[in-house]
Amino acid sequence: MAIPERIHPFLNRRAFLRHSATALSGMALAQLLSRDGLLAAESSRKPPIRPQIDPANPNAVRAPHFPPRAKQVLMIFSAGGCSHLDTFDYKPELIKRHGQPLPGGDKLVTFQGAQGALNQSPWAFRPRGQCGKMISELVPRLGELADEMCFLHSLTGKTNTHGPGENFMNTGFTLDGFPSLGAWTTYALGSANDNLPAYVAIPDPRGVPQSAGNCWNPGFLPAAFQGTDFNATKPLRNLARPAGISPEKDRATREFIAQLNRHHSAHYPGDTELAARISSYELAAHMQLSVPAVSDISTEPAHILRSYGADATGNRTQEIKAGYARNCILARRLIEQGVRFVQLFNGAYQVGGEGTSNWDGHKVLKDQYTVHGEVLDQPTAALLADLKQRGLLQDTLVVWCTEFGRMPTFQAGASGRDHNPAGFTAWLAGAGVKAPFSFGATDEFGYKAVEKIATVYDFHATILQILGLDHERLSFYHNGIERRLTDVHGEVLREILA
Amino acid sequence: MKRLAGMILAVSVATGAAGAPVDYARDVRPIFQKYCYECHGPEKQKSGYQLDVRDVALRGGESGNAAIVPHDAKKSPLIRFVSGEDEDEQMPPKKSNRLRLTPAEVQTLRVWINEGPAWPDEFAGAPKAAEPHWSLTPLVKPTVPRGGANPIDAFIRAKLAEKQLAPSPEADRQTLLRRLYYDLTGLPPTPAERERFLSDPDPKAYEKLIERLLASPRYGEHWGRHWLDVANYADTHGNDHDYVRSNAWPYRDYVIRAFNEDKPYARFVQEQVAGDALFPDDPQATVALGFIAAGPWDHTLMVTVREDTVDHHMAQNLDRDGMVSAVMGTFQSLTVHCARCHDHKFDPISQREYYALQAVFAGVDRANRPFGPDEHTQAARRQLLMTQRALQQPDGVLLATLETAALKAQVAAGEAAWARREAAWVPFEIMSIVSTGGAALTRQPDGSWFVSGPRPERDTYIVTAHRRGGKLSAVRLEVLPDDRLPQRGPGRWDNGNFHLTEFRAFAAPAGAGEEAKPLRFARATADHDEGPAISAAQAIDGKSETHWGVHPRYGEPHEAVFELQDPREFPEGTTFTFLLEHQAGAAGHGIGRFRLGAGDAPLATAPLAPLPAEVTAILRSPPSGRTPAQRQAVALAMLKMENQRALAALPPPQLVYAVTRDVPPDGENFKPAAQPRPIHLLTRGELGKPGDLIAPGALRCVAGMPPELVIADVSDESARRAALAYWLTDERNALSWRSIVNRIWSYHFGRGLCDTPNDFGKMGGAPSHRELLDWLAVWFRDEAKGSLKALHQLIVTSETWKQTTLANHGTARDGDNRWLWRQNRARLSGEEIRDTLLVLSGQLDLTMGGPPAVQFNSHGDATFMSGGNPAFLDYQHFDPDAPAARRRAVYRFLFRTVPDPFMDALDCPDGSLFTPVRGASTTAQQALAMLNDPFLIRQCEHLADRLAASGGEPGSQAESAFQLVLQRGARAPERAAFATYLQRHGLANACQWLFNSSEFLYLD
Repeated sequence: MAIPERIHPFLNRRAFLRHSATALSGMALAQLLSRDGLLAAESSRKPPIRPQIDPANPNAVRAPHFPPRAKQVLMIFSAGGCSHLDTFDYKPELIKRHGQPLPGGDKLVTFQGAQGALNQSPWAFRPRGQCGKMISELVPRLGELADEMCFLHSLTGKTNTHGPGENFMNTGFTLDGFPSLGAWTTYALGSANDNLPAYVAIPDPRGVPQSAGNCWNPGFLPAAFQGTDFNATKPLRNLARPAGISPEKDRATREFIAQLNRHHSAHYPGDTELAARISSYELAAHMQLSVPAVSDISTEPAHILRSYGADATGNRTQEIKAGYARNCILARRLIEQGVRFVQLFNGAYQVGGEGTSNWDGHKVLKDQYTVHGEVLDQPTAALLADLKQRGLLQDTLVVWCTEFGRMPTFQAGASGRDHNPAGFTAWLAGAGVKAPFSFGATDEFGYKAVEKIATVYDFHATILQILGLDHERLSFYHNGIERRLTDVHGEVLREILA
Repeated sequence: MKRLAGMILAVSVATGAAGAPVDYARDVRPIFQKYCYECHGPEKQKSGYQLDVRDVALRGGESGNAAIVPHDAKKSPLIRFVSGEDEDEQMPPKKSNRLRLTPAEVQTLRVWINEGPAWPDEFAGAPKAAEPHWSLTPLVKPTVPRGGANPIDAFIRAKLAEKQLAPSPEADRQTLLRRLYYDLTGLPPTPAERERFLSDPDPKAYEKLIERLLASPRYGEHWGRHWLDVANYADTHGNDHDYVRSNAWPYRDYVIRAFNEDKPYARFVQEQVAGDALFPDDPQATVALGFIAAGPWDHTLMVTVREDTVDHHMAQNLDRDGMVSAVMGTFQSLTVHCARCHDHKFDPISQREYYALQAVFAGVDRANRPFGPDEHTQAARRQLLMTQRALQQPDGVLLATLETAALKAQVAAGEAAWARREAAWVPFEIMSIVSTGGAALTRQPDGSWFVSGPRPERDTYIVTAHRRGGKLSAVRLEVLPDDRLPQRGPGRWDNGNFHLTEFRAFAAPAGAGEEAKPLRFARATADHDEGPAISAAQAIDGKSETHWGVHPRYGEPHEAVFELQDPREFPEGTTFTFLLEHQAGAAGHGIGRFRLGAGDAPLATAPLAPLPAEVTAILRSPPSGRTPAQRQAVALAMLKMENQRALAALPPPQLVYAVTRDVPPDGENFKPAAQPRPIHLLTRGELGKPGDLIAPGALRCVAGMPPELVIADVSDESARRAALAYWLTDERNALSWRSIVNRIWSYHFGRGLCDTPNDFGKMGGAPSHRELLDWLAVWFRDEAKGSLKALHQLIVTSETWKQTTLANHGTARDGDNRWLWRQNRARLSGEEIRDTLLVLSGQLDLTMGGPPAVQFNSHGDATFMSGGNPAFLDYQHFDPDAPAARRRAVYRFLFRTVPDPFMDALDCPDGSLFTPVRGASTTAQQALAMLNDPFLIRQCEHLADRLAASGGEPGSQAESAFQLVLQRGARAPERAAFATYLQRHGLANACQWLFNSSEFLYLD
């Protein structure tokens, strides 16, 4: 026997109704108090906030803990460990001392082994935007948007291994099985759109990242907060009726199911679980209409397709770029439709060798990054520009990140960089953050974060803060622990908040 | 203490004469009230410390150190904390954002302590007499209240009466039948079984049915699955690369068998914690150790990352953490893992005790462990392995026995046999050797060849050789260790291995222009193979993609013997050419040192590992001239060889993924612990802050149980686990017995009497019926003797369990049905739904056990089996009619990071976290799966075919469909609607809507 929803402690409709009156008024009170600064004195207590979930409508809109700066999130994840030193973290010293050893580097053993000499980026950096931020020619179009970006140059991770690193950036834990940032967000806030999933994960056209579904896992949170994964070419699983079943049959089947279930639930007056079941079929039906509609980017005008690079053809790289560009357009359309959390992946688990399908450039960085830069740059820049042009950045926080950065040295005997979680870059844009702005710094070579060192916990705490959520209070009891996205860590990086 | 305080007071008054002494009430208490009481006062006592009670304030909290040292502010931790000397320790904590003491206030406390401290009796306070937490109290059997033949009903009804609630009537027989079948076996009754029960006039029909179902093998499969949830079982490692764990399944089969055999619970626990130590000759007790290893394992950090890194050590720590959490969460319902970084915040479990539990598992790693296959072999192997260990590290006693006549004779016989065997092999006379990859080969004094210089990716050694004329029946290839090779070889790769892809031989008669003809081999055998797929046979299979290798036995000599298909005479002058190919497999895996010999007689036995060169050198000298040390070396070598021969002659063992100290080393980083690893308490869980060395131990908080473990020999890791196993199954251990009866109850009612089955601590749920829980625990332990089947029987025969779900009278008073005034309705689990589809489609294959049923396609090549790659898994296009698709769900292959989306949508756990309680979500994804999943649609088509085959008009087909799927007859309007629908849209579609009905999906 599986545990029925109604007696699950946190998905209990009756409990929900019983508690919601007090919970909601308590929430309203909390907001009033926080406005007056009265709550600050009490903040050391930090009682956990567990959102009350209505099982019949788990993604109903729920109020944040305090007024939010952003309402939606678009998270772009470059898998494989994208090198900060070849993209956004300019280090003149690295150019000057190209070919010389990294001080102390002879004894250094990183993920794959021994280090060679310091190596400047194969790409030149030049000042971009009004702000004159130095950005690499590997990503020229993103560089154009430097004025929109808030860079975090001092991020640090806990692991230099891909799977745990991807878990850490996406879930706050290096182990498998913890809820993702998107799951926490929708658990806390629900979603404004009733016809689309609250949380969509868009895998790269080449496949899923190394941590696969862990990146959009609900973990121990209710399954309703799982990211729904589909992209512009791979439709949502089980959305379409199998071939051979006509729309008429399909409709007739549903009607019967609805009839049967309504009849059955009549025996259980007031049983909301059965009502939840009926409404889940209704949402499924809505999704069957709305997901293909939102995924159908053929309705986009030609100039939009062109600006994203969705029309690119000619070789394999251009085809991947076109696929990623279509995913970028899909991401914009989902944000436009009010989807709460969109997670867009750039790069997949290695297929055909290390660094070929993601940013894991250990041995032949220049050749591989030429491809990855080409795929990432134009579509992502077009996406950011398009969001801005449509006014969507007013309410949407855009986040670009990766699992870790790379070494300023090339690996001994190779022409690429090893993993480096000691200092790497992410950027944010849109609602809630200062831009143009740069926070923190790595050392003169870009090896270690030295100024305003920030952890992934801080990064997550800040994103929740922007969404109006207190990372120390948003919680869920699991196996003896009041679990949080940020575990027992995290400080909001207040300096970057708009 | 009181006297001491009084004395302190007296002293302070005496010294106070010099100036105005600090006054506790006036100067000190306000500081405590202002800054400290919130966490260490009358309400809260974080870390067990409070400043409003004199005794506790002086004595200190759970850390066990005094917080205030009289007359010595400098040595008083209290001052260290409040002064903020160490940011990490400062109080109030940095994170709390609370106001901190001013320097003047800190100074006041310093003076106060140095002066005494003076703490008047009137402010001494009294610590709250803490009521022990319910789960930690001793187990006493409560008196059964009156009012019910079944004690369960008596307890439940007493509580209902107290809450002014009435129980509900029994469900109708039809409902009860369906409920009982799913509850005990996870499957629906067949129409015949249903008929048999409904028409059975015997008043004991229900009880008879229970017995039948509990005796069915389907019971073990269903309840075993519950246990696998708790154990966190899967067929892959999880984490980074998620490699396949090919030998996990014997544990899954063990669990199913244990349930079916109704293994007494204490024995079940003992086997899973220390079966190898407690029941060494029972192969299944070794398999049971799969429990400790069932959870995820971090291959990358344990194998790939260097042994001397922080990451690697942390991975080992977390690996043990996983073992401790599994054992203590499952058998004690305690969240001890919360005490890894600090004392448990809520329960009386110290960090020291947590590390004492880690120390219990300090000698094991997770790896494949040989067992059986039968008791006799298991016992024989154990004896031989003990002998082997003794021979490897001989002690005085053993060395003395070498001088006995019996052993001397045995050694002499061994030596003679060795000499005979060696005489059969004559070294080839090597003319030249060329490496195609450019490596250098040099001849060694013992006639072998050593390979050095460049280590090319691919290499073939071309050997040209002669021998004296005569019969040739076999060629022997010895691969030899050498100090110059990595890990002493015999291969050239970093780990000491080689991959011999092919071994070829040619013979050309003397005389110019004669063509060399290939020699064909009938058989190739070696003293050691990596496995059946990486054995010497693969070196003569004509395929360059397969090979022979010797992982993980590096640094020792090995040999392969290639027997000719056609043994015959080769005249003197024949030129032999041998090709030792390393043309595929991993790069740089050439052989590092080898020797080739010719044999002219049929092989008497399978090859044995060659003796070390030191020993053969002694053996070639006359026995009379040997030193005592040399005699000893020969004797030990001979006994080892004899022991090895006996081991090799045993039937090959099976493997189970379990814990073991005999881990085959994998590369340079994953190595067995020769001795249990030292366990230090880690301040804040950080490796950089090792504290005391901690000895193995258990918990102090379990009433009636001593915290010490009685360990016969601490250096024997299995003795540690054995001691914990006894501790866990001690009759006095209240948690063990409460935990299991609550767990079983939770599966019968959809919720435990305590609704957090893995957490009986303060953060967990409080039991709804504490007396009933205790009564069940004692009854289960003493009367049922740990029989789970007896417990099931007691529960499902109770009126409480048999109540209808349809009642509504208690909703106002008890909407959550905490007091069980009706039965809870449950949604069928993913496994139950999948299995039922197969039953009704007539496709279910009831084969039990064995390797997991792979229900997905893996793209491309075999990469998925050798190194997991989630990108290559495809569930969507897997053929729903494939034989593997037809097995019961408990046997499906569980891929941790890439779960089956259909089962995932139905809340089946993915094996990444412990699942003491499953969710039962209702999502749009689930609705879509139930509407459109290819597997489900295919089963509907099969069901439609079955119904169609039985003929009949649409109305009777409707009747049969309702009978099969919903276990009831169709009502007239339903029958008509179904019939009309199937005529228009087909029978398969019609069946599908039955599966989507709440009536099917829920169990009333």
